[in-house]
Amino acid sequence: MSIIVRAINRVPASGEGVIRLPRPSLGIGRFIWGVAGLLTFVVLWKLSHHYAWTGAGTMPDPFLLLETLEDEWSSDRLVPAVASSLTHYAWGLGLGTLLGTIIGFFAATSTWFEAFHAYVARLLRPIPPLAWVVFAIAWFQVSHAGAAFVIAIGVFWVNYFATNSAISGIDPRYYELARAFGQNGWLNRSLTVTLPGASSGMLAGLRTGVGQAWMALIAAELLGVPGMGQEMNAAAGVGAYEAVVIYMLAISGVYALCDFAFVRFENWVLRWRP
Amino acid sequence: MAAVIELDRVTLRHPNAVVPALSNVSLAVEQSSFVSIVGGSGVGKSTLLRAAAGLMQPEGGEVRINTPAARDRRLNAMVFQDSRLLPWRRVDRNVALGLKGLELEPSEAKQRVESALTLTGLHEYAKRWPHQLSGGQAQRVGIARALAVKPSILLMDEPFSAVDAITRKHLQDELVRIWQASGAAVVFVTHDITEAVLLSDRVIVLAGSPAKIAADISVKNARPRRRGDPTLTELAKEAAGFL
Repeated sequence: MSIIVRAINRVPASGEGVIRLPRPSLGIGRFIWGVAGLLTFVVLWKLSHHYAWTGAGTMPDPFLLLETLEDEWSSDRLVPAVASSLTHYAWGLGLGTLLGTIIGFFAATSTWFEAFHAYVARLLRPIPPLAWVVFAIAWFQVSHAGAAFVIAIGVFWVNYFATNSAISGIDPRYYELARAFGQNGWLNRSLTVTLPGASSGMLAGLRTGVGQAWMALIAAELLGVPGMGQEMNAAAGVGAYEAVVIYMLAISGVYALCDFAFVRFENWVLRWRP
Repeated sequence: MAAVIELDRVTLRHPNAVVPALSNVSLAVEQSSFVSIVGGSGVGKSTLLRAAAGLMQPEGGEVRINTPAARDRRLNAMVFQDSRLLPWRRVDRNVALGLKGLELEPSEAKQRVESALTLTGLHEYAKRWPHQLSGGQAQRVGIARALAVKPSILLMDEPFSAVDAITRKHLQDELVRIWQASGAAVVFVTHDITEAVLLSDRVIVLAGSPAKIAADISVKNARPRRRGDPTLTELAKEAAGFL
């Protein structure tokens, strides 16, 4: 009997075997908890500034942010910086996504192309996007094109692997179905099964790329390409940390908007999912 | 009656398998007839069906389809064990899968889809996604998809094995009605001998390794047939004796 009791009361060391109940919905409480979390964050930030926990003058005052935003806006720096960043962001993200998806698609669906490019991919994949900054400057100078190039490289690999993996994960029985109903040939198969079947994974890659592109963008701009990264660098150089935070929040805002739009688009494309 | 499909001494081996799955299997299926193939698990029933569908190439022998090719229909169509609906297509687009590539006017293709959905009692589900269907409904979409291409031969691989008993009975009755309305020959794979005897004109028993035809039993009972009919039960026992 005691053995049975111990077995019932035994708590597995890992999560395996544990039945997890769905978390109860908090309703309006969720919003209140969210606001409470945000306020706690701001209070801790203010205390950190007040008591100089990170060293004197290095922690911006959260209560000065509105004033700083007004300054940045009226000095005509914020909007052009955001516009400049978005220009090379859009080009880099677009090109990287397009090329990564196309090459990943061919790599996963064509045996000869997979063999043809496999060693090149293995050679280039480990090189971080920022290592290409040197060549970006050499080939494109300090320009939108240079920043877009660095962003595109970062985004390329994310989409390449996401597409490749999504296609590899398609249930082969769907291809058998397509064949049984006369949908033969590479193009027919691609349109009937491969593209729609891989769409979920491909979109996940695209979404990751949207975030990855911001990381590469800021890094590229820190090297002098006009945009929010450059403004942050300039502000940090003169100790204007409140301005740095304004640009950080601008990035966060633009990213949130992009992500919001993307999720809407994704939900529409994948409306067939349960 | 003329055979619409003939398997002539077909030997078939799965990739990397030492023993062939089928050896010297010969079978002729007549026009508009209903032939069931029964046998134990893994004996090669589905393999035989795949060979008939052209999804697997025989190592020896040949599969002959004796129906003139037409540009507006396919010679055969397959209904799978799992309904195998493409989850990213609505029901009507799933039914239309095999129509792409046939020489059909768009209005005719639409008409074909509507007819197939009506015949299977799914007209009102045309715009649903596959995940919004029950198992029985999904299986009927699979049948509608096969019927839409107006095949001379309908190949069915244990289509009712994944549905509950009540749905299964309903689908069996539906299938007989659809088969009689379509005029296609049906090759029906099942592990359920009672089901085979109830539905078919002939029951082919596959047995052995590699599989061979152990028995070819004619079921001459008139239709509609009654479940529990003692003569059908006797035939089922006879077929079971060969397994």
